[in-house]
Amino acid sequence: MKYYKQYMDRQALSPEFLEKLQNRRPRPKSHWRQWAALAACCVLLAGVGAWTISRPVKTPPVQMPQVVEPVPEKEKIFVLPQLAFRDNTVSKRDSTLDDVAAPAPLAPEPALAPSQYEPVSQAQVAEPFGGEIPEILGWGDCEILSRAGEADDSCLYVSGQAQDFSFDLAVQEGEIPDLASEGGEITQVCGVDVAGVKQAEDTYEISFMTPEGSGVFYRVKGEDGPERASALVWALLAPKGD
Amino acid sequence: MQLQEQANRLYRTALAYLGNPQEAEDAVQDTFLKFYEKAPKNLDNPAAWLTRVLVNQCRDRLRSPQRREVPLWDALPVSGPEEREELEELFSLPPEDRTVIHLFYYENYTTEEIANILNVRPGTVRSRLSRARARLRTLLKGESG
Repeated sequence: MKYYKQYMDRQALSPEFLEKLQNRRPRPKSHWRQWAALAACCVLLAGVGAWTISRPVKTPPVQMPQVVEPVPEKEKIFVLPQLAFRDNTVSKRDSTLDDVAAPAPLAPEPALAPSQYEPVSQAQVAEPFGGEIPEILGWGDCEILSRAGEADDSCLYVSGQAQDFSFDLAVQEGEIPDLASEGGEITQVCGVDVAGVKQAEDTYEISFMTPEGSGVFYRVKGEDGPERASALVWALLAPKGD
Repeated sequence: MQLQEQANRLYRTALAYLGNPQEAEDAVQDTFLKFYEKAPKNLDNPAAWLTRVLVNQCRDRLRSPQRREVPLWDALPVSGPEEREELEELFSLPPEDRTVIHLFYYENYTTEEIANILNVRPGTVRSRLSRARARLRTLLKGESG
């Protein structure tokens, strides 16, 4: 390793690059722009007001009343992303003792004992979604619990149980359980790589990194696992307002 | 730790992972942007947080179909045949394995710390290390750990 270390020791970023990096630091926000914008708005409003008062009054021509067709509100088209999943159930079935080259299946974490869970507030669960749990996730009937001691400002680790499905969700700043490097199928959604693995007949796992730098891991157990996984991807990655 | 020191440390890790100076610079820049915008306020270990984000950045870049492979020693010249030989040997490993080697032997992280950075189990780090060691017997001759 001597020569490797010697080589790496010589590698450094250029002073120009470091300066650029230094200059990207966020600066304290100055309020002068806001005041300037407000002043400009006031001037504009005053100008429009003065023009309205001073313009000559015209008598509108008499018109027959017209029936105005109501314009139907644009229907919202809502398409969930179609996610791909590496099928681990197949590799498990096909692997034999001689088949040492087969990729190692992802072992799901062992379930925790009930005592290791604690209640979690709605606000904490809703935080990654901007303050409100999207209805599309179907968590309305779920009892949602947090892994004891694992919910804090930078990390959310919750599990939910409803009649026909259950889920585990982990959201953590800068971290991601890496299904992709373990062979998960990748689907690009809104420019983000979403890795998917089918762990069992009714167990689906996805992981991805949001553009804001939060690692997300979601495991759904239930018949409609792929759709529920897609709904979470949509809830976190779709451009706001969709 | 100073920005310069941190940035250069991350740059070398990105070089080890990606083997491409331009991509390594981009990964460092994106990592710092994330740090400025998203880092939790009371980070216990900012260096580990930065490395974790950097590794994720590198991973994303490796998946990009547009990326172009350039031998690192062509872009950043070596000073002699021994350096080149070691680099060629190390860069014959898969990116995840050589990153583990880099973090362990160059950055002197423990296997537990590396597991935390890469978000894998310590056992995975140990198996990557032993797999890489088996392929790098000449390179690691005389190294402890």
